[in-house]
Amino acid sequence: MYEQYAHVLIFGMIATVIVVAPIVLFALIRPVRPSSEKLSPYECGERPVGEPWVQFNIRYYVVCIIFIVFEVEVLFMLPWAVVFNAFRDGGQNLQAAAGELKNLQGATGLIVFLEMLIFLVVLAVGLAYVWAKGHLEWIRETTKGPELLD
Amino acid sequence: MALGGILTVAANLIWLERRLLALWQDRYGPNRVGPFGLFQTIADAIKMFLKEDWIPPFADKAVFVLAPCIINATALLSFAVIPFAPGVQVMDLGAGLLFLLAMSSLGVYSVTLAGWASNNKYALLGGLRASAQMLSYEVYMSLSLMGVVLMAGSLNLSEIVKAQEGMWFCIPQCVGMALFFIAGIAETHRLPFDLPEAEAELVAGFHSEYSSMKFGMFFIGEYIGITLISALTALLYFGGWSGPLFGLSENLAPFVQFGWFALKTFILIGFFILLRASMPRPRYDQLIEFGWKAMLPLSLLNLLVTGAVVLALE
Repeated sequence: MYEQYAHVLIFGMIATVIVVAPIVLFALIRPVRPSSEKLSPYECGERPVGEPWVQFNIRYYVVCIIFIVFEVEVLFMLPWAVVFNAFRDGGQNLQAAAGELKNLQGATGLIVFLEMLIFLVVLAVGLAYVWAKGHLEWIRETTKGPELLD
Repeated sequence: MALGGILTVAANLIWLERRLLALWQDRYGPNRVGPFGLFQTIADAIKMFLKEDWIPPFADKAVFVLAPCIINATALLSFAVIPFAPGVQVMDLGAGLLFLLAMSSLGVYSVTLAGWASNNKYALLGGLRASAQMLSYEVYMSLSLMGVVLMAGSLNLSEIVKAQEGMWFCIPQCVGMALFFIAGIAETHRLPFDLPEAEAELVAGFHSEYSSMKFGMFFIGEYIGITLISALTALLYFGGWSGPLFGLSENLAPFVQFGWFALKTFILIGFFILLRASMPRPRYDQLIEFGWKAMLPLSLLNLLVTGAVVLALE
């Protein structure tokens, strides 16, 4: 079965070559004519004002943190969703597949479903907390200080 | 061969999109180069190959070059697990859907690094916007897929298609499908969710400083992304390759099945383009708040209801 991964490796290598080749090969015939305008950052023809490292909205970080919480949760749910069907009839279908799952033999679909329900409720509480705290609001009225670019 | 096919399709989508947009906006679009302007893409490609490949002196050079390669390579790699017809795929991976999600999330690196490395205000803002938007919508994307995984009981794409023999998942999973498609548009940052590159506010966002083939990479990467999302929607919700075979023999069946798959994919691509032609762009705060306040609870609910119904139908 690992042959498949060899296929995907070859596929990936060809994809990389296809992507890199036009950049490298055609570099030989491309012109290079730098000028003072080209040497400055593009801002619609205006002279660039100030540093490119502007102060940006802290919300981007908040979104990233919330993302991590929910993305990890999705990873927990994927295996659950895959085996859920097999558990509906009391786990009989699982017998062939999983020897190490023997302690789950008694579990029925309802129990498996309730377990996920509890997990989701805990997460929903987290979402409700973030929501109530106003962290989902992109523009917060309490924001003070210098105007932020977003 | 598959790779060449995908690249050709993606490149010609640019022509298709321009023609269709023109049609819907009551104008001609590119119609000069070749019959119906079909060779426009080739002309554009030659032009892009021969343009000055500009790496700004103020940019972080290594990252600047790497960024456009990432988006293309990952988008192409995603196609490794797509079954075009029964058995016609590079890798019949058990966790194919997981592989796809992983590959599509790697695209975030591309735009973020591009915006970061360009050392340009607008590019930085575009890159930041792109990262926050793609991260958020990735969550809803994988959550909305969970209903399909639940019903099919597998992450393998061929298995999912086979599970739809009785009924396409677009009927029981209509909410999930809408959520997945919206998230897909946001993942490929297409209009109406093209805020990372909003021309009117950010010049071109993360690829402001890119020129020549590196810009071309971003451009074609976007179209490969559209093809991927459309192909995925066709596979997961519209029964993939299934369709009437017209009583053809065994040898010819895969071609017809591939035809059905391609047809469904192209209809969905057309829908993508129609959305671009008809929808205005939302504000950034609206986009993010819509995601976390509407998409996330809805996709969680969709999962729960699907689970409950599957349980009740036992």
